Amino acid sequence: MTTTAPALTNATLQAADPILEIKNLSVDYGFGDDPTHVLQDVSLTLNRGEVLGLAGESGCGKSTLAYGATRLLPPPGVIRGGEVIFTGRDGVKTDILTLNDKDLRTARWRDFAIVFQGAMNSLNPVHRVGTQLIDAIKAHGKTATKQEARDRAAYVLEMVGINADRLKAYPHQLSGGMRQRVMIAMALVLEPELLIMDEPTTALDVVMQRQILEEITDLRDRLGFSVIFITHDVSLLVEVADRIAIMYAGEIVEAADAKDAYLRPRHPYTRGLLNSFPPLRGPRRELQGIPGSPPDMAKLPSGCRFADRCPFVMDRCRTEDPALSRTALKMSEPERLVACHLHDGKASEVPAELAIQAPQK
Amino acid sequence: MPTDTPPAGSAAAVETAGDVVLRAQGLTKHFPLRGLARGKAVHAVDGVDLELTRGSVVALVGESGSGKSTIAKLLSLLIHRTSGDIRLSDKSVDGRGRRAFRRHSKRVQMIFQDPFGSLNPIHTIRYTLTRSVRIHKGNLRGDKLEAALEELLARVQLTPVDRYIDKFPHELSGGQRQRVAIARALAADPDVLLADEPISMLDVSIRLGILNLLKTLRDDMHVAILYITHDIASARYFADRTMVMYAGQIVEQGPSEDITQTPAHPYTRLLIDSAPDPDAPARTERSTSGEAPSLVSPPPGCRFAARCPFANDLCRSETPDLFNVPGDDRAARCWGYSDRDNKPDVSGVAKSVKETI
Repeated sequence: MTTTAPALTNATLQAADPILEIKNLSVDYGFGDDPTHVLQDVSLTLNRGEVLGLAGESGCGKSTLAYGATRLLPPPGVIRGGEVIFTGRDGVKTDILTLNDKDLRTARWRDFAIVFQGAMNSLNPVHRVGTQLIDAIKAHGKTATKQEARDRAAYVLEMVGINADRLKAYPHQLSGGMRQRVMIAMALVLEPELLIMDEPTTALDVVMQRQILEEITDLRDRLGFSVIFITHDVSLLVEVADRIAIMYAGEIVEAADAKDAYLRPRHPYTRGLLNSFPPLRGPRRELQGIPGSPPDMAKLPSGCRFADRCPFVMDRCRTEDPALSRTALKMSEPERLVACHLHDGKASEVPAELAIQAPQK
Repeated sequence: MPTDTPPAGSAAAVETAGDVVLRAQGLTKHFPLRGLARGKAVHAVDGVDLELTRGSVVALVGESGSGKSTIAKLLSLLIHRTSGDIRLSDKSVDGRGRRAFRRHSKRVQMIFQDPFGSLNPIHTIRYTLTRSVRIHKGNLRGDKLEAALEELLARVQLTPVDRYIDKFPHELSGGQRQRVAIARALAADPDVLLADEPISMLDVSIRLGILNLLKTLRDDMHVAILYITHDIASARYFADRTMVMYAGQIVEQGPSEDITQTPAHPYTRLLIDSAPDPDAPARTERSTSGEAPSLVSPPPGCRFAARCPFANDLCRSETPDLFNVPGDDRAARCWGYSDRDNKPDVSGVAKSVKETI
């Protein structure tokens, strides 16, 4: 087992080559008569070789979206409908949601792998790191000999910058950052095409976070996998991701090129979120964050879910739920989707902050 | 009346703003180890000098394990110091004995990181606040109690009061809970607030609300605030002065704006360069690797030497003091700012920062 598919490393060039298409995914929590509809008809596309950032506050459904799409939702999470089309390197399309258990088991780790939130605690404390890596290879890989599996484990560990003699270490002998690297190595051990990272650096210090991010970017360039990167830290995403999708209360409210979304946010929530991070450089100014708090998912208001906290709210927002669609400026911004009544072309006037005209590039 | 003497009111004004309320000198905490390592100790905090003045915010920035929270616990006398001195209004305090501790905590209150854990889930907000009011202000009842509670909630902007007072913690959002925790601390009418990562557990969109609230308390009530954080950008936003901690020691201190814009210590520079910053141009060089040293037996010399790109033999053999750095009341624990002949050349610290801006 050696590194394969070098031809795909520059996959960003093949722009319209989706690896994962989530279509109208709906997820409920609860089995009873009155389940909470956490996700309703959420659609999202990830292109091959792309880093897609998924951002939002806690409870907005970003992890649910990722786990739902990979059928990893623990009960009481129930997938109520939708399609998740995974396209392999060989061009074969499969719907993850309709796979039988055996195929799903094979697809996991080989096709898509996940680095979980708080990964440092997902390692088994009573087994050596090496044993756990080899376990993953044996359980999911093609039948490898013991020696092959061990070599492979050593190889991936070196790949994330840990000396191979650490295979013999127990998790408690490693620092948080190293444990996180082991988890990334474990996810990459079978060279998946898609890596889902759920808040992979949240529990780490900024310095370690920076190192891990550099590591991920390097590996992505070398191995050519695609990444869904989930975090609440938008300023981090702008640096890491190629494209970002902002979620609010179970809906995607804006999806755009990362730099573009940062420089020219269109949705009032995106703008509020970006304004919630005090800048390290530039002038010091008073920031407000976003007043209020997200709605209760069990008692969602009618109309736009952000209406109560939105500084630009109109009468229409209270009754009509805006759809995620192209802005009225579609010619100049083919990549951007926004769910806001301000941008459907019918609004009498778009606030200056959100309506910076066509990209200045 | 001679005209050159200041008006009578100004003396009192000096007392309310700019006065040192809480001062720590050479604050040190070693946690003894047990079992096989008996006789050794974790050097959690080593020789920290710190001053909290009325109406100003001091930020303590550092990575986890650098000893920031230990300092807050030492200052609030929740744990006892190994050596050094803590002076409240210039009187040494050690908090041994219940009454001495109560006296201290009446003036020095803490706000904890996790508002989900720091409020008792089986009691209403009314109960939590009433308890705090009665402990610190005597046995208030009836209208007086009601007025006190109302004033507290109004101060943390939880209005209308009726909507919150009879709720249980689980009925409130994280931000509202943290406000209740702040109200509980304010019930004692404290001179000092020790806020240990008050926003890191909260949702990003409501963090600034809490920081802005603490700002108002600083300006209106002239509380001295120690703001402990790992996010140097929020220290720049909120704090007047910033102290950067590394491996139990203060490595740099000065006005927040100066420290974040022109860091002097190589570690501060590393922190700033590592912070997410969408405005920064694409990075080309890889960041410094390595981790903080073990605090059980810290290496000789500067504790950052192993990771520092500028370190020389002097750094690895002798421990630096805090040396003055050009600028307004700034200091850095780095040999580069000493007048030794064999000092390391740290001019690169300032240069590389300029390049990234």
